[in-house]
Amino acid sequence: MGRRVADVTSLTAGVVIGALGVLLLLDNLEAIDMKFAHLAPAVTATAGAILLARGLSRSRER
Amino acid sequence: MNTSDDTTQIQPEPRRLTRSRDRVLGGVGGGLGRYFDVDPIIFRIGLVALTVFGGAGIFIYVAALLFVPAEGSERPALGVRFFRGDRGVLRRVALITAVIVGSGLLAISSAWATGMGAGETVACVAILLGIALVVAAFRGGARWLILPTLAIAIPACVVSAAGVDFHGGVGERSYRPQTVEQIQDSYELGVGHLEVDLRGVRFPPGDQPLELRAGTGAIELLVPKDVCVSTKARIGAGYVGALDRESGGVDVNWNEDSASHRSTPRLVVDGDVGLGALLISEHPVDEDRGFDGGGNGTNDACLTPAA
Repeated sequence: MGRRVADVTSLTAGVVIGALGVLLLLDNLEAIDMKFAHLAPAVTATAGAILLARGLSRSRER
Repeated sequence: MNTSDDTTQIQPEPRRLTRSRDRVLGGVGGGLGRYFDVDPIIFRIGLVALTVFGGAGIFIYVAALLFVPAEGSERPALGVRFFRGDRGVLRRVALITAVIVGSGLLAISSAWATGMGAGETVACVAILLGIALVVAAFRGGARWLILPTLAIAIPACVVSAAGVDFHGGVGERSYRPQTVEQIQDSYELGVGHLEVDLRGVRFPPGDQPLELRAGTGAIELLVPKDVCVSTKARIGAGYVGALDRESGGVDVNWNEDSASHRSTPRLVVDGDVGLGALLISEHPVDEDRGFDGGGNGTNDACLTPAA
């Protein structure tokens, strides 16, 4: 029986979006003070991680 | 012996514009480069320049993606098949449109909910969807869920980082008090344009506090010339112009603590704008000219005793 491989794109997206959700929750609970200076790199890293995972899984599929 | 009659003449293939496999994005620049026999980088730079200056490049690119077939493909381009009524293409276009419109609506709802104080709920939804994506990854994946989840999480984060508060309503508000007693402690607006015109007020010596709040939009405060203005403001992303000084960008913290002579009235402004501008001027800001620092007052009242 073949081992099922996880979908790397969904896995990465889930982890990074979940992390973004945690940041949002902490900011709303006033545990941290989220500013654009923190958010811009976080959002860019999120998009970058998802695109990277998609690219890597595509090249593996080929 | 006749050799010339037996020779098969090879006809050159007619030149056909196709999207190249040598691609950066959709192969449009590469295809154009091969068709005109020049370096594709020329077309790539041209398309980027047209996109930056005026935005025409993006329309040309999308049109080429739709109507120029891919290299090696026998099928007509996607746009041609769409107009011929190809069911598969129609279904795909309908699905993509639905996903884009749905994600847009989700983004607006998420931003609005966060600005109305339901940021914790939106954050929990984003975390749960993140967990759902991780679980789904081990059951074949759920890539279709990525865009809607991003549409919920990112606008909420932007609104939260900017400190946008949509309480206070939407629209245009204009206040023109004529006496100090008529001035409210605080003026607040959710989205829109808030104008507070204090030019008709005769201020007594001493401090007069004033709080101004806007979620998204512009606050315009008009002050009399004989009043010293001390300003403290926080702008999530946007611009602050206080008489002869200005600053803009993200996370702007403005603090201009101007002291005045005892006999001079002083207006102590505490401003907070999530996304937008706070403008303090001695006369209405010309919409065509914009806020030009230096032409809106000098705050000279802070330097001189009242007459």
